[in-house]
Amino acid sequence: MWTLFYYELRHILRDITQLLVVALLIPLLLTPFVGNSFQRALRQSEALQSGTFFVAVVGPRAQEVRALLPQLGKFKEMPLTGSPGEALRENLVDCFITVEDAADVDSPGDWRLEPLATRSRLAETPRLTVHYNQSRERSQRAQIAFSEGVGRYLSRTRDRYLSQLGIEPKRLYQVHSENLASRRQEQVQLMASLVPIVLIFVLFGTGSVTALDAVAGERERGSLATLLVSALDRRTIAGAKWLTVVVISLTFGLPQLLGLLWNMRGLGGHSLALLSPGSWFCLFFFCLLLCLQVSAVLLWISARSSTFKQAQLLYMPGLLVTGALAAVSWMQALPLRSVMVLVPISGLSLALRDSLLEDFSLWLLLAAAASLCWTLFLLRSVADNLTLDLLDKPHSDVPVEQMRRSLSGDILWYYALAGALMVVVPGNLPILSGLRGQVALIQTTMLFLPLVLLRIYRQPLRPSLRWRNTSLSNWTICLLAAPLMHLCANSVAIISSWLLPMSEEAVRQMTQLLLPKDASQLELFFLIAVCPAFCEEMAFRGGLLHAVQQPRDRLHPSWRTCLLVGLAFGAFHFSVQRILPTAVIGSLLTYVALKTNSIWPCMMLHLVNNALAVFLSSLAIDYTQLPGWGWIAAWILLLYLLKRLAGVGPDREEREASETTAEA
Amino acid sequence: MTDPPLAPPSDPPVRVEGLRKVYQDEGRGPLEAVRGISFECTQGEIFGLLGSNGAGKTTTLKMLATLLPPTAGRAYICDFEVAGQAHQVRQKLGFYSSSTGLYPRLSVLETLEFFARINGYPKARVAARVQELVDHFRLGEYRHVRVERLSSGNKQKVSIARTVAHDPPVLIFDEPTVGLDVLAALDFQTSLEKLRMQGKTIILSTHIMSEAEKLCDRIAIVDAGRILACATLEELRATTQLHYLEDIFIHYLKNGR
Repeated sequence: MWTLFYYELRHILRDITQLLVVALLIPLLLTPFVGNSFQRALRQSEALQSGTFFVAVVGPRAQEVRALLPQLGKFKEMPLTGSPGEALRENLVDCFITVEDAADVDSPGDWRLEPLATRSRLAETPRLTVHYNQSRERSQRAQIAFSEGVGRYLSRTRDRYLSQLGIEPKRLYQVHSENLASRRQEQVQLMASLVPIVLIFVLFGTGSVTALDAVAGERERGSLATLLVSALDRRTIAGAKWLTVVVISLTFGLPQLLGLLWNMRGLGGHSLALLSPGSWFCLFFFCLLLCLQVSAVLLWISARSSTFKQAQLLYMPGLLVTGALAAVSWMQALPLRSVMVLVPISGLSLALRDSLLEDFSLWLLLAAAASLCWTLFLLRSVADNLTLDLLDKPHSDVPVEQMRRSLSGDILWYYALAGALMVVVPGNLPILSGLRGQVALIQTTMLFLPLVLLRIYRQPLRPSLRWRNTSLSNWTICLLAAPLMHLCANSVAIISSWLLPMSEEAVRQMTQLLLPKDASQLELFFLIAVCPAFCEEMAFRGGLLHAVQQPRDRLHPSWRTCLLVGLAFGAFHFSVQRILPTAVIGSLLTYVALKTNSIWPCMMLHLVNNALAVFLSSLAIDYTQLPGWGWIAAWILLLYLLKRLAGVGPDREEREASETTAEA
Repeated sequence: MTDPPLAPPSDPPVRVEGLRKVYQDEGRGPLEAVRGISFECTQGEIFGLLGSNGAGKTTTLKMLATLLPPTAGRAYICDFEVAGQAHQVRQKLGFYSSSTGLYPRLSVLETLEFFARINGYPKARVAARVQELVDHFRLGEYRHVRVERLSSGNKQKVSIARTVAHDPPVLIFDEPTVGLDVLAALDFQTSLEKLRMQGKTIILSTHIMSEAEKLCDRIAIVDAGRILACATLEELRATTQLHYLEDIFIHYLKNGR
């Protein structure tokens, strides 16, 4: 691998002069312009706070406010030649104020711009309306300055009246805000938000050409074929190419990043110099991990492309997705101490932010571990895609069972990525954060994800998803078992609540999410019972079970398979407290699926369980009142019934095997 | 080049037993590109695969070179199975095809060093080996020239040199003279003769009859994924009562389809 790495580097750096000029010198020359632009914008913004604003005062009682203007702040009245609206549109004034009798106001009239009214409480007090242009920062600041000026004037007036009435104004409460964050802290906060995104753009810029050429370009030139017939295995080739991309990205990216930070020192870049050694170490460590991961992403894009041009087309979507994942560092309310730690790029972005803010915790280690796992996963995918020509569909000749085994190695990663996206997306789109939105997003993903994966891995859909009926006796058993399963799941939920108690607030929030008051019983039945019963079963007892099952599971379901699918099912409910009961249900449903070799009983059981939850919650039934022997009896009966399920016989196996062959 | 020929192994260096290759085309369903090809090659032999376009020659050779996994059947290169022992097979094999390119910005010396090293040639002997190759293929004046600046004839010499850089006992050439002029093709043929004299086992795929006539010790005529005939030229002539290889080829194609 080191030989390949050395010669790949040598090959890339052969035209070192051109590379230095294009990849290093030009960006370094341009970064001062970028940094200075930021600093100039910041200075202009700060200057606006202390500048003079140009205003116009109109209306029947304009004279009253005109006299007050000098007391309100730095305002200068401009004479108008036309309508005030036109003057505002043409930037002749920053804002204009209309002063009217309160009783006279019906509608804003012909002014199209956003008004902000300071409402008066007495009929004789004029109504002031500030008209400003939201799209111009100067106009916004003028409006704020005027409102604050009027507020201060009113406060002084109030104090004077109170004094005349013999009331000491100082006896009244006054609210003052004091920001305890130092300027350095504020600047570090800004840096912490910027650094991950800037790093992504720099790494994409510096590593992309190398990465895109490393596989896609070589595939086009034919030198990839030469490598593939050498004694190196695919993982070694992928590893060497990845190392090359990492080295190039670091070599050319680091100076650009430092140059950018230096030129943005006015925005807080210099505050980085005051970081503690621990922060510096973490900063470098996570920057390195980010570089490793982004390099793997770039190489993956290249490996999935037939030609260099196709790789270039995929470059921009890759940059946008990666940039969006890194942009979580802007969301101050989003902590690392959550499932975000497992999301690729986002976890590292938040870890970088926490490092800069000197918020050290074990979650940083978890972010690092998750990042390494994602990087290895990507590299493995790169190695698998190191083929001569993607158009030849190199896996087209691989037997179905071999493809299934390949799917079993990858499916948990796909599901984990889907789970991560299902956490990130609602956080960014409020419309998806309620029950309806979550059902729409999660259940749709659950439905289509297995279909897409099975299609990609060329698995026959109907047998893979167990779309076949089962015997009448099995249906009867499952119908009897359905309410018992609900009871048993609740027994586990009670135990789980003892082990991991939820706060009342958390319970309230969960209840509000799952059982919103504005939803009818029918809607709740559809959203909580029907949709999950169909979609989640497709994902877990369909796609996932098909991928991970062992050959012997057909006759004797193994606890390993049941547990694996059950735990994955539990994890997908995104709640630590709910993992245990949902994992238990998931394991039982997996057992039913394996035993009956049909997904339909599982859907029925799932639907009954969730429907009972909806119905019984509306009756506010307290499960803890059930005596202990009741729970035990329910469990014994349930296990007995499941044991009675008629398994798959040899004749049925042959029939189903022939169905599978026909489908394939 | 002065390396002595290899001692004859217990089994032929190349053994192919019932090799099959089926592609799953989305539109047309399963496509059987290779339908049970079997042959053996002895040491120091040039074995020719002769067939028209789409006959299955390249697919067969790619399977031997471990670029494609066989759907069924087995193949052995120096007693290592291509499906299960790909790493060992590639160390014993040199593969050349029109699809195998070079690194354009590396020099001739760097290219030969690189491929000798990654194919497991002993590090201490790489320099001497590279010098030997440069001398043999008369690339002395181009040793420090980048590959992208070489003529097509010299590029091809470099390609052949990198194929044999790690001194493998088995060589596969897939239509090596396509696009070459007469002199370059003659140069290649001379190189091939020398390699045969060193005891290399060579599989040559071609659709140029004269080349097959001139170079191959035995010829397998391939069509539609099957070997229609496999014998020496003299035996083929005796069987078909035809003299020219082209006529023999057409005869088998007509009778075999």
